Amino acid sequence: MLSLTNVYKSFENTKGRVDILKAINLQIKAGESISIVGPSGSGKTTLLGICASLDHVSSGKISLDGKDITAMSEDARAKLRNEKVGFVFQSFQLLPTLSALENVMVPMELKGLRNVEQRARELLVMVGLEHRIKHYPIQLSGGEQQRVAIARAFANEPKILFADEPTGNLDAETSIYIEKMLFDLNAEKNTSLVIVTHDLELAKKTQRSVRINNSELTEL
Amino acid sequence: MNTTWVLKMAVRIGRQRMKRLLSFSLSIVLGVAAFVAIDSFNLTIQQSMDDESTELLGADISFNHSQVISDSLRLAISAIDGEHSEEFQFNSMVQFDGRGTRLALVRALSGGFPFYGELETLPTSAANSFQGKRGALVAKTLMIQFDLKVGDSIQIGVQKFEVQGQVDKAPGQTAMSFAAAPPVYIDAQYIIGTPLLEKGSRVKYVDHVKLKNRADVNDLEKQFSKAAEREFVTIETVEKRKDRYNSILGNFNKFLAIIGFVSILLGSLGIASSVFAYAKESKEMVAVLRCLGATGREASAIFFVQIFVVGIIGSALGIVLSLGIQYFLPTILAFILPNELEFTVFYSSILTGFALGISVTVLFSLYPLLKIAGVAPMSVIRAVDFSEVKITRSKQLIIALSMVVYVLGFSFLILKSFYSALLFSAALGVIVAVLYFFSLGVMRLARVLARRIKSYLWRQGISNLYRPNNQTTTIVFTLGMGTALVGMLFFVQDFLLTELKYSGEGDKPNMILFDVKKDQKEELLNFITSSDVELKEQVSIVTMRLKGIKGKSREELKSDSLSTIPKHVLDREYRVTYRNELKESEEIVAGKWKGVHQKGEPFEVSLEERTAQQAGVVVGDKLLFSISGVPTEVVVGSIRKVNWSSFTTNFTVLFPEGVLEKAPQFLSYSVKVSDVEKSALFQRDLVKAFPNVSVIDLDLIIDTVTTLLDQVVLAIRFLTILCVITGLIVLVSSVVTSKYQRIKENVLLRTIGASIKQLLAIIGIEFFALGNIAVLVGLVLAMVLAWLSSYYFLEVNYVFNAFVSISIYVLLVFTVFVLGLFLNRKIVRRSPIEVLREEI
Repeated sequence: MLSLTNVYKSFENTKGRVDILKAINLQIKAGESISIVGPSGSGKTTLLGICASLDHVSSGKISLDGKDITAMSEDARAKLRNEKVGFVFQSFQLLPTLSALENVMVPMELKGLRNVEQRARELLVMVGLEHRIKHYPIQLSGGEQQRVAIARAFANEPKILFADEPTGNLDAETSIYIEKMLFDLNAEKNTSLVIVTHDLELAKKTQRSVRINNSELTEL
Repeated sequence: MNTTWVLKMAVRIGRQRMKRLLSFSLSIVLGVAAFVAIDSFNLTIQQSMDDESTELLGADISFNHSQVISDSLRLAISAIDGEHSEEFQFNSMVQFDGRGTRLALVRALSGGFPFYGELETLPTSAANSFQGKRGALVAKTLMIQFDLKVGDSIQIGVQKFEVQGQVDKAPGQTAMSFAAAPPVYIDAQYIIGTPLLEKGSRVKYVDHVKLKNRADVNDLEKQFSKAAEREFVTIETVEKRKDRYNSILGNFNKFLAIIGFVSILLGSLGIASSVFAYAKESKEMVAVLRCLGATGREASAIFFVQIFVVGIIGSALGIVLSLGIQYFLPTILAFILPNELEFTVFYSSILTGFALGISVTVLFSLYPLLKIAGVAPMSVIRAVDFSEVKITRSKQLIIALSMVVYVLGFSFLILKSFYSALLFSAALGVIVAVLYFFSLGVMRLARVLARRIKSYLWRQGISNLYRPNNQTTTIVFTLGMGTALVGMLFFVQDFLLTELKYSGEGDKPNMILFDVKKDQKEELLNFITSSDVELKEQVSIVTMRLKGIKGKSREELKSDSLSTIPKHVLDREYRVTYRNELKESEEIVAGKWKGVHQKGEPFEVSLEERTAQQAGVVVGDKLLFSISGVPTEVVVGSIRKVNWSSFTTNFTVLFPEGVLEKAPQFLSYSVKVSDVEKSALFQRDLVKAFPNVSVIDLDLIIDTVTTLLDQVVLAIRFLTILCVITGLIVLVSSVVTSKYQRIKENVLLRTIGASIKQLLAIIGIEFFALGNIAVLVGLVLAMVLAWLSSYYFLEVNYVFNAFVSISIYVLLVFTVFVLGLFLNRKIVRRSPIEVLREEI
């Protein structure tokens, strides 16, 4: 599903070239769940951004669902993200001026689909928020917001889902609920799941774990 | 691009931010309103002049001359097929039923003039009844000044007339001309052959003609043009008069339209800053949308649609408001209008205003909109400052060029001259640059000062001037520019009035007696001495015409298409004096003044600087004058600068002694009368003893000019104040824009123990400083602009008026201070917990 081959990410500063990621090679299969762990500042977020086609590499090759994204234009990447990639963030990142339902509708509408409201409702029912459909993010608890984010992430049935510290802002009980939801959907929809986390307990629940340290990736 | 989705998102995001977006639109409301009102007003005048053009002259064609014309020309004019009406126009002292005397414009009519339009009189029948008997129609101002009623008598020279009514309006005369030279209409038959018409060249003879065939007017004008040129006869046609009004009103309207345009530009600066803040706050949302698959163009388009709608709403509100202004504008400007105007709505003005409002809104929002397109999806997981979102140089250049072209293009549309548009745009550019660099300097200074201030409240207040999201540049721009315009107007008005007052004060003469015949000299001097009036100056006046310059005849110069000499320099009648010394109001700037002519030498005259420039002559050049028909060649011996506003008798051409003494001439005396009562008695007795002598009461002129100036200024001030209000609206909009940032800051401060009083003090200090800075820079700019106007255009001395400056300063700073506190009053009272719950 996702393949990184000899990927480098570096930038220039006054002291010369600084490598954030060095010779990264990683393969993720369809339906597989994988966690990326590592200390703060190790490059986890950079790796996630690159894998999810949010950022560019300095060198190397990334292919997502068989397509080389390193050579793609920005608009083509946007289309790819819309159709094949889902995101769940630590701070939920719901659009504050849109209701829960509208937040879920956005990716489908962007794709050009019609009559998407019913599908969005179903997704919200799936995450247990049928009673919160018309609510705005500000009117929802953290856990509820994250559930809306999950519903939104699955709206276009992505091939791969990236979750950046998905339980980082949640209490223990809600975290367990959200984790379960993520893994259930991962299994049910055969969506590859990539979780970036500090939480080793959560990492253990994925099929594979990789650690990033000193800009290099090692399999755990 | 997924247009449907973009539109949906624009609505979804916009509905929650409706109030805020609407507040952006307020910035351009006044500008659009002023622009549409002025444009519509301009079109109304043009339409009115087209509809009632014949009334501008009252005849199809008129022949005016102030000197005797040849029999052949006189016969040719009277042979024109149509109805003729003769008029004698002259300024004369008029006695008003023993209640006083005043110089008035006597219009003695015979025949049926006006042929088009009518004399508007009270009672209405008076317009027809004053002729055929010794009746007079008296201007309203004179009726009021001397408390005249129908049936009272007035005396012009030795002729008495009975007041038949009051005249309010006459074809071709504006309220302004009525005020400047109030007319008295009489029947010409009662003054023909009387000494009243022996005023030398100062009587204007007019032959008004209503043509049998109106289509002949152009042919007639052509047919008579050569003879008219030769004999100094001015031909007036409806078209010519219309052009003249268009030119005067056109300039006035252009000036007003420019003020409207500047007001729109000020508003657009407000919009630009508000949209920038809005875009900055929306960057997280944009990053999320980019993550979900929106392209940069789609994300940017959402905000573009919102801003476009803001432009539509602002422009629409402006147009509604313009209807109100349009209703009042003709009343405010009535004094300069030749016809009464009816309230008319012009769709072309509305469309132009609408397009202008929307385009300026979008254009000035392009920069933040392009920045939105550049927000990277990656910033959803790694925060990036909005200032780090880059726009390519080429795009920045395109935006800057678009703005320059826009301002240049629109000013060209208003001013109809590329040179003027370029000058205006360049001046605007300089002002913008000055304000921009000044605001940068202020922020730097605030940063340095804040570190040294010990009081926390003052330090925090001053720091707000340079903190992120500060509004310093926007407020300095908009309020500074508004203050500069209003301040300039106040200063110019003030020093024009000061100059006028100064001219009439102290030991200076306040009355000029003219049309005194040479043989009346001794008798008049005795009269002055016995009247307890101080004689200040005696001047001899000789009239002459210019026949040639530097060896070229006047006719040659007039037919030379390359000649840049203005028509009036060649056509006017020169009233010239001679003396052996210069006056206080004169200063030689080239050549040497010789006060006495030496026999055998050429006649060396001194020419006034501007006239010399216009005539294209320098010291040593020759001029040919016709003095009572005698060609006289003179040499420009010197060029003088003359202070025309000195309110003494000044002359463009000055002869030395020993040349003109024997030429036909009349005398003029400047006297000082100590008070109003003595002045009235002196004028009354003078007119009784010397009916042919006229008096210019300088005090009265100063009063009249002051009144007229007040009216002109009222109209302009009405519009310039719109600029200040726009500045204040932008201030309100800026406060609303920075509200969310302020809420966060205030909540934090309250959480750590700041009281509401302290928070208000911080805000008060910030706005007090902001007001001071913006108004001060505006006032300095106003002074510079006023000085430039006084030096280059008005030629009066610049006088700094501390009272006007302090008044503007205190009023505006106080307004900004109070507005700042008022708009933030709710913010400081918000409970920290309430805000934290909202997770703002």
